[in-house]
Amino acid sequence: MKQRFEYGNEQYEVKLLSRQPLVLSLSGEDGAEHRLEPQISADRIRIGDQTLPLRVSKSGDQIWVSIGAETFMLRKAKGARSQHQKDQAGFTAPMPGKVVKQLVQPGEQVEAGAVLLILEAMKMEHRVEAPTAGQVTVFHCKPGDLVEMGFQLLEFQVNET
Amino acid sequence: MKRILVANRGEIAVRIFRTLREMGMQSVALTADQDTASVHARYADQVISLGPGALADTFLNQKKIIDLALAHGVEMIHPGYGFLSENADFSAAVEAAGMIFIGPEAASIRAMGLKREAKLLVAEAGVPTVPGYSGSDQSPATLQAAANEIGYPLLIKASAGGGGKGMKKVLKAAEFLEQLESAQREAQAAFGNDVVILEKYLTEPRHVEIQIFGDGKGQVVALGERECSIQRRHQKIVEEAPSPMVDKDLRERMCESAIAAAQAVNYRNAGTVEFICDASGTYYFMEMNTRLQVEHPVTEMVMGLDLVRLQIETALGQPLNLERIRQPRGWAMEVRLYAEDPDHGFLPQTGKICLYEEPNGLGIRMDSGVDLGSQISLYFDPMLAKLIAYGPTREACRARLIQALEHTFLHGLKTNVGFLHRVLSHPAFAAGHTTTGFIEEHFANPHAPDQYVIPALAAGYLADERVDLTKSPAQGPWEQLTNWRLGA
Repeated sequence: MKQRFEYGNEQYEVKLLSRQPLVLSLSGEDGAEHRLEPQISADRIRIGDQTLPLRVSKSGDQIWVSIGAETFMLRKAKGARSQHQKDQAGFTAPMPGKVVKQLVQPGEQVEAGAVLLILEAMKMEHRVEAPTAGQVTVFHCKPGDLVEMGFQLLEFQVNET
Repeated sequence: MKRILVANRGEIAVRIFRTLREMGMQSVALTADQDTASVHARYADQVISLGPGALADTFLNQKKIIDLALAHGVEMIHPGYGFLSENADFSAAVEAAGMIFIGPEAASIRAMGLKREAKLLVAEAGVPTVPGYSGSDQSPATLQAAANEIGYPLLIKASAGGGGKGMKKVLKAAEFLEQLESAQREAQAAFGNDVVILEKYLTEPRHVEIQIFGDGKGQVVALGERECSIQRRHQKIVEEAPSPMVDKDLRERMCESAIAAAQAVNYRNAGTVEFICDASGTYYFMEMNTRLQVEHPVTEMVMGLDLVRLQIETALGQPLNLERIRQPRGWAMEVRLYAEDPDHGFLPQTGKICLYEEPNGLGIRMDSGVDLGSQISLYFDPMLAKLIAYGPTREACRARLIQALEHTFLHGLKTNVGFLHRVLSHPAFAAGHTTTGFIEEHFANPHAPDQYVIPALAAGYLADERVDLTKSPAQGPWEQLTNWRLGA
């Protein structure tokens, strides 16, 4: 009964340790394991000193969780990611849209924060930036392409330190 | 019995249909093939299809809408907001076709549509306007000289603009020409017209607007103010009435100015005069919106009026019933729910709604255009719904809206519900320090609270594994359980 989830750019593994009392184990990609005793019922969850409404729904490989006003979209993952997959997780399209501009060439050295690619949807621009110094090895799209949400836009190689 | 067509979709069409049903009017909805949600059509007596195609072929196609209206015996057209609501030609064409346009005359729309001319017009009527330049000499040298005279910071705005396009803030003389070129480019691209105006920029400014109603025969009434300072990229996201900054004296002065502005164009129907204000009580005319505003519900709540009913009565030539108009009572706030991802630069989101629950209770109003199963696409505006709360005081109203957001559930695409909750919960918002720079100042990099991520993963896991929580240890009192424990 273990399951992997992706949230943001992180992957987590969750396991049921005991039903009575309810105990879970959660580990992140840093390898550290956390023991959890959630105070939870089908529609409520306790966080700190507050009990908040809880709603969970499934749609394909997405699991949507609302805790009060905050909603989280988790994605079920097939297996552990390689270091390479982890590094590329930030370079997926956050929305369906159009690639409007490619600002660097493959192999070109860039500094942290450099804009690599610009996407547009509903006249709004989204800039894909370099998280660290490094280089784009491959672009999987070109200006004018329409991309779906979650599409891997490019591969980025971090400079060796 | 009148037959009224609503030339709009989404929440505003639903809202108008509710009033039409109350008034016993026949209602007609328009749908487009691209609009797979069309929740609004459920509220109408009759539904007409605009067929396939882009907006220019559907909700913006004046001729098609007028021809269909005539063919179906429509007597009045309500344009809602957006789309054709501030199109002078449409107002004129509807009336020329022998129908009633529920809104102002074409001449008033035209007069207020061009910002530069509108400012001159209301200034003549004695309404305070921002020190600025709105001359027809658009040469860079003249504009630079005018800018230096006004002083910095200042704003460059597109004369034909709206929605923040073509608007640039200039902090010092040296960057003026560069920002001017950028504003002109954007204005040309967005409106096909690169004429700009210059305006003094107020520090810690607030956006306060006055709702007015005119009978088209010279009589205009003011229905108090709304504060709409909480904006992101010049798009309003939280609105309230009254304003935490406006006192009785300032309200009276602003209402007087708003009435003068509306009378200057012999205004008919619902309109809004927007002002920019600062803490000293200085206010300047910004623009007049010649339509029903998105945020009209907060005025309805504190004034005890149905503005859509008032629009229809005014359009039918009935006199304004001044006895119904009183001082604002209590407090109302509205938040706009958008299909957007606050964690990723507020990018618009698409998807199919797979869970939908609206909040409920005393003083809660949800004006929604979506439902379970609605497919949200990029073809239409990303606003899904508006949530409005009413309370006896500002604090009671705020607390009510916060708890209502905690019972608003929409799954299947990302929304700004959590972000709105964080905005309303912020101490500066609670204290009424609502300036137009609020979001930039306090939410430069918004993201969901970290302490919820692990609970969310646990809840997601338990649901996915179908762990039966009705028989979980939590069936007893919460107190029997220990707190979240992190660490081995």
